Amino acid sequence: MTADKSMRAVPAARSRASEVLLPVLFMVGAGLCLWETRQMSQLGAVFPAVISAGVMVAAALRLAQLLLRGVIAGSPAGGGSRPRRLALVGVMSVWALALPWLGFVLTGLGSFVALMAVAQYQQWTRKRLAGHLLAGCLLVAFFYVLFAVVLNVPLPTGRWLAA
Amino acid sequence: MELITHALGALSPLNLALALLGVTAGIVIGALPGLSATMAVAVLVPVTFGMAPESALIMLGAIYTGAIYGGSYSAILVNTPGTPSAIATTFDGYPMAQRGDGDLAVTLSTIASVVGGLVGVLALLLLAPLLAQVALSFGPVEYFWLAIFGLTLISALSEDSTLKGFMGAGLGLLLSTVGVAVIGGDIRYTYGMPVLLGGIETVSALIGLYCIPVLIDLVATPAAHLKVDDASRGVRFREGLGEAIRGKWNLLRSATIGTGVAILPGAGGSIASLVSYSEARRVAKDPGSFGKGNPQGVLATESANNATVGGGFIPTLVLGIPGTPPDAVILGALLVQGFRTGPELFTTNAGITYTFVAGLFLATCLLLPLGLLIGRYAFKSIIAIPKALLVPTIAFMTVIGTYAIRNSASDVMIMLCLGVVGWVLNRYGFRPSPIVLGLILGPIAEQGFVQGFLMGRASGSVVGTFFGGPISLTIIALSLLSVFYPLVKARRVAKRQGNNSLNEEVSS
Repeated sequence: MTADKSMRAVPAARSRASEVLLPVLFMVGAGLCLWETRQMSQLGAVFPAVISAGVMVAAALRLAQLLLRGVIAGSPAGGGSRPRRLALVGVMSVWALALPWLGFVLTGLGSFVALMAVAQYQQWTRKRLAGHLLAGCLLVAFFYVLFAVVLNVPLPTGRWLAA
Repeated sequence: MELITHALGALSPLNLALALLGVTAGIVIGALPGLSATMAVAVLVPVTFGMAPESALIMLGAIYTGAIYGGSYSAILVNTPGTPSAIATTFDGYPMAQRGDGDLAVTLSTIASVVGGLVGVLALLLLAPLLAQVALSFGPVEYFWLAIFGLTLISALSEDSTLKGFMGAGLGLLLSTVGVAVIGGDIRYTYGMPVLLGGIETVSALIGLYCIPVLIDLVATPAAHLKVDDASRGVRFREGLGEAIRGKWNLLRSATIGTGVAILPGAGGSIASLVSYSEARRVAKDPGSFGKGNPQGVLATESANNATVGGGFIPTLVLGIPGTPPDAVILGALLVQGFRTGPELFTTNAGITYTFVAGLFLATCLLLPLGLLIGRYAFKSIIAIPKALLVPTIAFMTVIGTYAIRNSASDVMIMLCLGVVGWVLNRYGFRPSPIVLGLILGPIAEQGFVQGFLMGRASGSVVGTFFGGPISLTIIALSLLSVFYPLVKARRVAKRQGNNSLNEEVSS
């Protein structure tokens, strides 16, 4: 009986706890969405209310499945450099926030150099650095011409620079 | 005879040059994440206003064909669908590229796109008026169920858990409700933030959910992005052709599905490629290999999404109802050129219509040499670029691609936030495809659902409205089949394996 249960157990993507935690989070999130539909008109509320209820049912079924069949822990949190991951998200966030203030060209060049540093694992040589910087400048110029000139997209020039 | 005369009109040197230019521009634009086929056609429409009507239509059709195909490059090489139609191409295309078969995957995508495109064009030529009538029998409730069918398909395809797929699809549907309601005009889930009033832009979400997780994982290790073989193997055309011949029924079935789905206005390439992918997996002898780099998966999705080009023109030309969003833009261009859609396009204006169809045929054929050539360079570039250049380049494309959609820096921030959420969910077994498809199909589903709800209330039976019609019941049955068939099949296989092992134990 125990062997049968372990054969049917649900393999977790990561840990047992996370496998349970995520359906709970989905259920809470969908519950909040459902709660908010009270402030909407009937026409506006009917669709999100039905979908929220559907998500809650799916999450409850998932929890029941985990409870009845058990969970086998999956591979532990994957390797790789956490600081580099965080640096990438940080650089891109600053980029998005600075875009209206500093403009497309300046933020593009700055972020390109910063992300280049984040993704570089080998030693920097003078030649490599010069080559990468040149490639970055060419890329920013290419996209500027493509979007601003060819496709007529009004790219931000930067409020601080314009002032 | 008249048909041949019109077809020859498409072969004028000018039209040939325009088709070549259109396909090339379409491939390049479609390959860039954030620049969808709709955008490719939309930005180049003004260029065609000064041209003769048939030349303008040939160029627009060529751009559209090229863009739908181009979306597969980024899907295969960087796991980011260039257009929503290429979502399902990531399932097997990217695993193929990761194991060193990216060149073969691009070649397969080219062959499949040509076959699918030709089937779609043939359907447009031979069956247009007949098939257009089918589209008319779909009402709001049928569209709601069609959207749900698309979501059940993708949820059932979630490799870890169907329920996780459903939760992801639900999240996508809820995200689609952010902003001003489609019907009723309520402002929902904006929490006082004006940037959310316009809702979450689908292509920004697509870029964030697919591209940002790839970037986050790319910088985490020094390992190469894709596996590279030392020996150059060219485009591997013969190998690809052999695979395509082996999967000839898969190709034709997917192209037929693509054409059929495209005649339903609004359904588009994303549903078409998912339905055909699901079918290819269902009938395969080794369904377990799908999602792990099975070439037949790439053949199915790419054949289906390019078939939507010809298929989508059926309701556009015959009924004046655009089958897909790029068709809507082309319909606008048609009106500017002074055409009225309807049966007269095949009688009074038959000359221009048949020249256009022949132009589409030509553009689809041009995909083969152009696609193989550009695909080879795209593949070589992606594998040759060092990581320190690849990461900022992809990041750059995600930021500018997102910004360009609505000229909004807030969209870039939303894209990034969704990307980080997508990365976290991905680690815990929630794939991005159900979320993105939920977001894409949300407005169609909501409009159908609310209209059906109002119709039901007016007629006194909401349940009867949603579950009464034969088309609705057929789609519901297909949805249930797509959810439960894999479960029943898996149980049957497990039972058979259990019996076999028991027999082996007894005999030993």
